[in-house]
Parts: sequence; structure tokens; C-alpha cells
Amino acid sequence: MTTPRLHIEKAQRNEARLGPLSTGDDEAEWYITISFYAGVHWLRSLFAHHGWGVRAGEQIPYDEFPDYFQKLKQRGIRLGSLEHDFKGFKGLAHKARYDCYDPPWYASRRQDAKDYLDAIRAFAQNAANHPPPPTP
Amino acid sequence: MTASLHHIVKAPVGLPPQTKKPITWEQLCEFARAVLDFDERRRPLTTGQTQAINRLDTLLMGLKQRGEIVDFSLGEFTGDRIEVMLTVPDERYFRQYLLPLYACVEEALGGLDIYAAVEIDTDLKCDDAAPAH
Repeated sequence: MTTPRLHIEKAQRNEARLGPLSTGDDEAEWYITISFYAGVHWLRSLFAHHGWGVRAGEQIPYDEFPDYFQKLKQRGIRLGSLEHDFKGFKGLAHKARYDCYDPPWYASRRQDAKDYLDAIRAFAQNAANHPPPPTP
Repeated sequence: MTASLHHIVKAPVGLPPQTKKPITWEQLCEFARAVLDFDERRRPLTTGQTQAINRLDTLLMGLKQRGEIVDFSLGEFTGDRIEVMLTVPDERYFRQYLLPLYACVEEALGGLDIYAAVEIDTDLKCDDAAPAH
């Protein structure tokens, strides 16, 4: 069984690698990429908190996250900017992995990656402090 | 027995010709999904849906005229989901600009529970990017 705690630990292990990538143009692509995957695990911890994606071997692909955002809304949870943060983060991370802009371009977006991750982490941590509402 | 499947399944007119006639049970299921999907797409829009999409189109035209986006296109609409592709000026490819843009798109579709699958790209292409230094 995959617990929220396991995803949080994975997210934190990713985050622990960000320090050395926090300065310098050439490191920005990896900063964005790793921080995105930390965000993915924070979101999986959120979903696991609601009992989704917790069976052994089960992992919610991040392309399916919008479906789970809808499920959260159906449970009456206000997402604020969470969905938009994830969409923006996903697009930025895609550019970091696959596009070939010059390193200063990625460096100029590093703060965005940090802001996206901060927002997603804060949401997931806040949710973890509250019991999920009973399933309707 | 397999031949009879060809006869009990009558494909709707306009179904893409590459849709294979089913022979096995799995193919029959796949065929049924293709027919349902096709049927969903050709269903006429409700007045509310038409108004929402027009509202979205007007919003995006305005954003384009004001230079907040470079271009846009509306893709597939399945009744509860529409694909929206936005190209923004490179200098606006930042969280502070993108979040309100997402919110605007959703607001334009508001009240109809249409999910906007928004993809945002920048007008900067790899070919245009300054050489690494």
C-alpha cells in the first residue's frame, strides 16, 4: 500500500537535491525538472490522503491529475490556484525536459518553478492536517 | 459466428472509414467505443454550450488584440471538455501571468461545467532562442 507519507518522503528527497541547482544558468533545467517531480509527489500524497492511488503497485499518472482535481471539487474541496499551478508547472517542466531554449531562459523561470512547488506543497501539507471528508 | 457480428453492427454514416469492422469481442468493444465517441462529437451543441464557446472565443480574441496572447486555437469539444491552445509572448510566460489566464478561460466557460484542457506555449521557439553562452 502506498501511503501519503511515502509520497511525502519521495517529494522531500527530490527537494533535497534542489539546493545545488539553485544557482547558475546551466542547472536551471534540472532545478525545474526535479522540482516538478517533487510537486507530482506532493499531489500524489494529497490524492492518497483521499484514498486514491494507494493500492500496491498503483500510481496515478500525472496526466490523470485533472480527473482527480475534479474528484476533489466534487468532495467540496476548494482548490484555489492548485489546478492552474499544476498546469503551469507541467508546461514549464515539459519545456525544461524537451525544449532547447538557452540556459538563461530556464534560469529566468527558476523562481516560477519554486513558486509553483511552494504553492502545491502548501496545499498538500494543509490537506494532510485535516481528515478527508467522508465519501458521499 | 464471427460473420454475424458484421451484420448486427451497423456503423453510423460518417464514421471514419479506417474504423475496422469488429471480429473479436475486444474489437467489438473497441468499435462500440469508436461509435459512441463519434456520436458524442456530432451531437449538436446546446444553446448554453454555444454561448459559452462564443464567450471564450470573444475573450481570446480580445486578449490577442491587446497583445496578452500571440495566438489561440480551440480544439476538440466533446460536450464537457474543450481543448484550448494559447500561445503567449515569451515575456509573459510566467506564473504571475499564466494563472490569471487560466482563470479567465474557466470563467468564460463558467456555469456549464465544461473542463478546459488548456495548453500554453510560448512564442519563443528553439530556433529563435539565443545561443547558449
